[in-house]
Amino acid sequence: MLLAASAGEDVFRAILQGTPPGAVFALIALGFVLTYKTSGVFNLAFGAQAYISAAMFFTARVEWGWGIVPSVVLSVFLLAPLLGLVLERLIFRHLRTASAVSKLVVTIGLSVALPNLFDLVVGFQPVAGRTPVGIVADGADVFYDPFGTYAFSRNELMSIGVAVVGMALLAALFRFSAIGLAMRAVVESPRMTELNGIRADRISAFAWALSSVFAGLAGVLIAPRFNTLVAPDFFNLVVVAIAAAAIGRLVSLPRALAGGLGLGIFIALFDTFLPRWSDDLTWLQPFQDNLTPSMPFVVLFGVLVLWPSIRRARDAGDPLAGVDPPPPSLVAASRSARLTLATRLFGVAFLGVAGFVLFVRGDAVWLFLVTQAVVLATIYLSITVLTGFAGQISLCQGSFAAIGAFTVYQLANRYDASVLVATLAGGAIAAGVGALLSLPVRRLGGIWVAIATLAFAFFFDAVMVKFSWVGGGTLFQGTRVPRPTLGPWDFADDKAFLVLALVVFVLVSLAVIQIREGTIGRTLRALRGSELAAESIGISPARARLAAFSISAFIAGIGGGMLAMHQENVNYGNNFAPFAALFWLVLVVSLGARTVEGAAQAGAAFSLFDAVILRGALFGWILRSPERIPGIFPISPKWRFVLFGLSCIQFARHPEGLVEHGKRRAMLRAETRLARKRPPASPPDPVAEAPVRTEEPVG
Amino acid sequence: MTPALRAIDVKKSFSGIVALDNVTIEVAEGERVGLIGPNGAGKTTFFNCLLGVLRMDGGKVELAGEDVSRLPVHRRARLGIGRTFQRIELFPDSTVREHLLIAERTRRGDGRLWKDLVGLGRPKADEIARCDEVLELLGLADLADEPIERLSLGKGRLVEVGRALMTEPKVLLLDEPSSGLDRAETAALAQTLGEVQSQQGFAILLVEHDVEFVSTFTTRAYVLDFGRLIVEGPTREVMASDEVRTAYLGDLEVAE
Ligand SMILES: Nc1ncnc2c1ncn2[C@@H]1O[C@H](COP(=O)(O)OP(=O)(O)OP(=O)(O)O)[C@@H](O)[C@H]1O
Ligand SMILES: [Mg+2]
Repeated sequence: MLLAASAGEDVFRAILQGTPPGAVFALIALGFVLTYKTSGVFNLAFGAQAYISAAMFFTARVEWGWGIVPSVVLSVFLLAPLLGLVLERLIFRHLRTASAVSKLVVTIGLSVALPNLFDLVVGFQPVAGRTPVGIVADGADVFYDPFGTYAFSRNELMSIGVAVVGMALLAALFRFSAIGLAMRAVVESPRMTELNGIRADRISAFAWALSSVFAGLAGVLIAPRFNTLVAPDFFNLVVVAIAAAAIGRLVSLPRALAGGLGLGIFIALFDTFLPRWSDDLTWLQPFQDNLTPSMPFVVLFGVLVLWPSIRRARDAGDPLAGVDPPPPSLVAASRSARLTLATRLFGVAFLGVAGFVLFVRGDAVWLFLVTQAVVLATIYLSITVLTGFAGQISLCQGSFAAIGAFTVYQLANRYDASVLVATLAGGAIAAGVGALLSLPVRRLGGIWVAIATLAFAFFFDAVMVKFSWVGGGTLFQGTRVPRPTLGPWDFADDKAFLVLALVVFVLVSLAVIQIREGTIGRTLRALRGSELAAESIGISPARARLAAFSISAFIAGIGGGMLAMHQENVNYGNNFAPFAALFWLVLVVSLGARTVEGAAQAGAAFSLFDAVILRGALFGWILRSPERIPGIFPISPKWRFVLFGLSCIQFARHPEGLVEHGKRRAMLRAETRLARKRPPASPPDPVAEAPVRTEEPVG
Repeated sequence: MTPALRAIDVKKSFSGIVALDNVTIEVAEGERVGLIGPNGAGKTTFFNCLLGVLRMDGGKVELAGEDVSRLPVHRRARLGIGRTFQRIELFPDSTVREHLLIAERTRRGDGRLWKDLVGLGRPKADEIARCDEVLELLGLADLADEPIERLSLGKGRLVEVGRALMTEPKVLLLDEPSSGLDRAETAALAQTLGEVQSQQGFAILLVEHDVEFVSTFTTRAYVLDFGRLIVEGPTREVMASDEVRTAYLGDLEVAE
């Protein structure tokens, strides 16, 4: 870095300024690495754990008026370790042999479910503008200036103090206690410890409790930096932690610590110097406000893409991953023709009746919700392609969709382009971005794709959206999008637009099915089944992933454009922000990522579950009168997040999703019943002697 | 005549432990060569270096005279290295025929998006015929539409062979194809392999613990021990040599 001598003092001040957040980042990174190394879980729910402690502290301190000490004890030293233990005992202990990707998906579900579950149980309501309090009195108002260059607030000093004490205790624990020593052994070499017969269960439980305490501490310490206590801010924290931990290649505790501290200081340095450079270099100006908050994401992305050891050592990220359980085949592939016809007819009849009722009797609200479901289902088909077919977990589908939406907005407003053409253009641009993004991650595979796409989503969110040529600069109100017209049809009419949305959905579905049955689908299925074998017959993983990413991004872009047209506004924050889009993945994965039905059901679940089930409309319809809806309704819409988030847990066992799983069970039952009526047509299969996937003794 | 496959001074170590120490081998066109050695000798590691799954620390791999040392796995596969795996690697979610079909498609290099979209990506009659030909050869014709999960291990290994054959390899690397099979299955596999090989004329490099299999199937053999080649020559002589008895057969206590 080029620094004049006079800048020395500024550097010093930046270092001081960056130390308090850096200390908290370090805490988070430590906690993150702990569970990652001891149980192989890449815990994206870490931010949710931090949120729960912070919200508990806030509730106890402010709502219940407790003192500081009991509030801290409750939130950080009781609730947090308890939560860690429960997660380990109820969920992750049973997933030890699951693949790293399925564990990751479980934590994604948890990061959606846990904050909402906490809010529901404790009755916590984030109120805008009610700034979280720190763990010292007047933390934000009293300052100390020991070096005469930078004044630390009490909260900041507290952060440093707590972090130092926490790390010292951790170091002492590792050095002197039996379980600490055992844990250090696990962290350093999991395989070795298993050979030595150390009880892995106990260690992993302890690590989860400890890691959860670190999450809680960090949450309570960092909370005063936010205006309002809301879960997405804490999700950002986990991305920061991953960046810090990635500097230590996710395995080294000391390096994770240094990474966290370094990141804090790095950000402060940027904060200090970027404004000055941008005085001279005008092209830097737009970056000035945007780049600093997104520094962690840029660093994370850079580390992933540029750090050679990560790129090469694919398995370094996967210490305990067992063998992937072979995904079961799709029901449709194996069910009899009669049953297929019967289920199809039933489905068509049901949809037909529902559609008729909607068109004839439906009011504006229902029309809106159903249209939204259809449009979202279109977007979700992008997840079907990328996650269902290619087995890649992408956390930036929201950004792809947003690219489509913003393209429509820009082209329609600046150039008065036809919105339908603009939607196609949006899909194409998204596809280009998807293809570009797949280049650096093409060799990573597994959880690394998820991390890199997460970094991209946050980068897009923090930097790109704020450019006037992307988000228009005036977020949340200024991004109006018109409805399309096509010849004689004006889709400003809601019913007409629903038809348009259905047509688009059907077209995209057909394309997706064709792809699944065609060369690309087969190639992706082979790659997902065994990358090694696929390569050995000449399949290029890079090319196949490039195809999957661009097709998926194209679909997401189209869907995003449709969503913007439907709402006549891009509504970036509500629709496409990374945390909001996380729920998409949760829904699709838990309902069925491999099939078009899965995507359709996910779309319906997103927009109709609340209205139909939780508000009791279904009950009212069954009882023939809205007045007789039982008093337990309406149920809080937060249950939606809790239910689907938690149902992600079954991804490890049934990667095909709930719909497929339910279908398979129902089909088995139906076929046995059918078979009982008829005499058996053929003797039992002689082929099924031994399953192929038996583990062989090595060597 | 240029050999089908030549590896020169292949070196590989794993964090200091030498797994392959200047291994040099040659497989002529249409030849059947054995590669034997005790557990942990480095045979699988050598295969991985040949195909590019692992990066060699030094040395060179030539396929039909062409240096492929720097090419990624899939390029080498396309140039003519076929392979089966010691720990079986099949595609779940697919039928037996689909395994062969995707290999055939990849060999043809036919994967345009528009073709998929207009439905040209579905299996075509001539492709299916070609797959069924190979399935017939391997005696898998009855199982063509069987999902892979329902197959026995022995049949699974045959599917791997079939999948490799569809790529029209110049050299087929077989990594312990008999492991997990009983005697009868092994004999049947050897028989089938022999027939297919003499029909199609590709070369085979066979890693195998089954002494009988190696002795009857291959004409020449290399012996690997602790990453070093210790003997090479006609299989019968190699199997009878003292070095092999001490290094390999001795500690496995195999009679004869
Ligand atoms: N990825 C790896 N990382 C570290 N060491 C490895 C790796 N792969 C193999 N090794 C080591 O290299 C040596 C050779 O292993 P390899 O699997 O090639 O033996 P092999 O001859 O195939 O044995 P087997 O008959 O048991 O299959 C062994 O000591 C093994 O532990
Ligand atoms: Mg081996």
